[in-house]
Amino acid sequence: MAEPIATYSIVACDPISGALGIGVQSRFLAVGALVPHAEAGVGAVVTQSFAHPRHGAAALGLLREGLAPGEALDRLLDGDPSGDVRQLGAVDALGRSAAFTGEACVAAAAHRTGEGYTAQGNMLASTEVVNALAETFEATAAKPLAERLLHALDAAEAAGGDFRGQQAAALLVVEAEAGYAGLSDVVVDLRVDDHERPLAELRRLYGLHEAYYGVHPREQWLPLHDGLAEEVRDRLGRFGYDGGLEQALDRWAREARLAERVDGADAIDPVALLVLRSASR
Amino acid sequence: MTRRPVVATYSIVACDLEVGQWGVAVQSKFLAVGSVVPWAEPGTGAIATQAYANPRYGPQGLELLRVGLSAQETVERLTEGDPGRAERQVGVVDGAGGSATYTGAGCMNWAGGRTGPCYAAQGNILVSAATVDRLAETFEANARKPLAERLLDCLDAAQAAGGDSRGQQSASVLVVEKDAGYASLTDILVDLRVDDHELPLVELRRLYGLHELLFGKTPRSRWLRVDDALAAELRDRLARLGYTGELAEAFGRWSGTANLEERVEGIEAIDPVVLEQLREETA
Repeated sequence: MAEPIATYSIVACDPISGALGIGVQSRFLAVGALVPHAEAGVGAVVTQSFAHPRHGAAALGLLREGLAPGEALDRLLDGDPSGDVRQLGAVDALGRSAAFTGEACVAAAAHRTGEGYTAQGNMLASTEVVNALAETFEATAAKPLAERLLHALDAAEAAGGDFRGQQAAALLVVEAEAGYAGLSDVVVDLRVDDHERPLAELRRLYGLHEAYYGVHPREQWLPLHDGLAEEVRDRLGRFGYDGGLEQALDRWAREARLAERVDGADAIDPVALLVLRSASR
Repeated sequence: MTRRPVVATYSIVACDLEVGQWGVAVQSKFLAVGSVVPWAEPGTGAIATQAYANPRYGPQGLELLRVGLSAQETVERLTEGDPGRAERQVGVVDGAGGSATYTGAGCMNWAGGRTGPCYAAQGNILVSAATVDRLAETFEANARKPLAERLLDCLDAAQAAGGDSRGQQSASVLVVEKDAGYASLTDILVDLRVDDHELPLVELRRLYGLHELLFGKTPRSRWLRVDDALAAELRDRLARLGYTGELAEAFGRWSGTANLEERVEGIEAIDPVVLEQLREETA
């Protein structure tokens, strides 16, 4: 018998952009290679516990044919003699969701579905972990989908997480032609395959990803008021960028290849601030 | 997307027809290279798409291979319809071991590729052609090893020859074989990624070691018979870790906690890898 994929995950759809995404953390090497499955405009699916990885592609195929997530999972489980050990979650591009937790999944095992998302886990410290996923997702509706998923994972870990501990994590977001050079549907695909603190590492990777690709409209830039201006001046000074704030910031940003994220001394792109803070920690 | 950093990369795409494995290994100065470059399907082929990469070359290329086009025909079909082909680089191995590599005239120096039976090696923004030569030569020299290890050896040799002139950031290794993965319910035999690391190849090897420990197989003929002496040693070591009681039961509980249950079957014989792990834990 294969080792069970002890996991908690959240599968979701962004109601405005239509982006579909998955966040997952597990005591399982390279969990991102097996659990998350997503296709832009179709749906997103996780398959965990004593997982049947082929259920991922098969569920996406059924969603593509127009089945609702609940019907798709029923169809797969009907033909699966080991359904009692599986755990599955699915969301389609319309935001419909469904989940299944086989009765032989290792406790605590549970799922919770809502509008546009499903949260599920097994081998958990308690079912509160699944509640934390769901409630955090619901409470962060104003944020980009990838960030909502990361927040949900952090809250789940804080609620006790997986009782066997942590090892790996993954974040996947797809949206039609929104990925690399407009030639891919993969907006975010980051994996931490083996790490003591996989969620912290996943956040670090996401920060890098945003630094390379993220775009913030000017109205989301942070005003460089007294306190923040002071902090930025201090951090730049530590790297030897002295003099007027505007010049120092401009020189640093050009050398950090973040020139597009700085413009004068009135405001700063949040990603530039994040990079500066993490570099001068 | 307005910004699109070039996937400065070297990669090797290869297959082992005897075992029925196809795979891709890649190293790059690019965040999470494993999410863009490698594609593989058992019996069909494997593809690496890089430079100013066209990620659609992956699924479209596999589709062309699936309907029977050769690696060379697949590369031709992919590039002839792509207005951005001058900046692309792609390597393909097909289901019969045929191979092809393509480097657009606009790829940044040094850029190029080399092919042989069952492999295609390519790279761009490299220190020199030696990086691609080492990929090819190392692959040809190691025919007896498992495909994943051959691919890792190739990356190490390529890096030692200079590698990517912009440095290192991420790496991945992907090997597929029909039904050879998790619980025999997937074709993914090895799929490991290092998305951002100072020494991505060292980290990738560490992950592979862990993967082999957890999921690798030692042929049953090489398991050690558990005679009285070995049984006594096992009992003693397990007890030191707090696993007391009947030997088979204690051994089963420990192996479950150590995530080694895939390598355990009864207590008549023991996988040497499992014994080594137990000895290490109690050293």
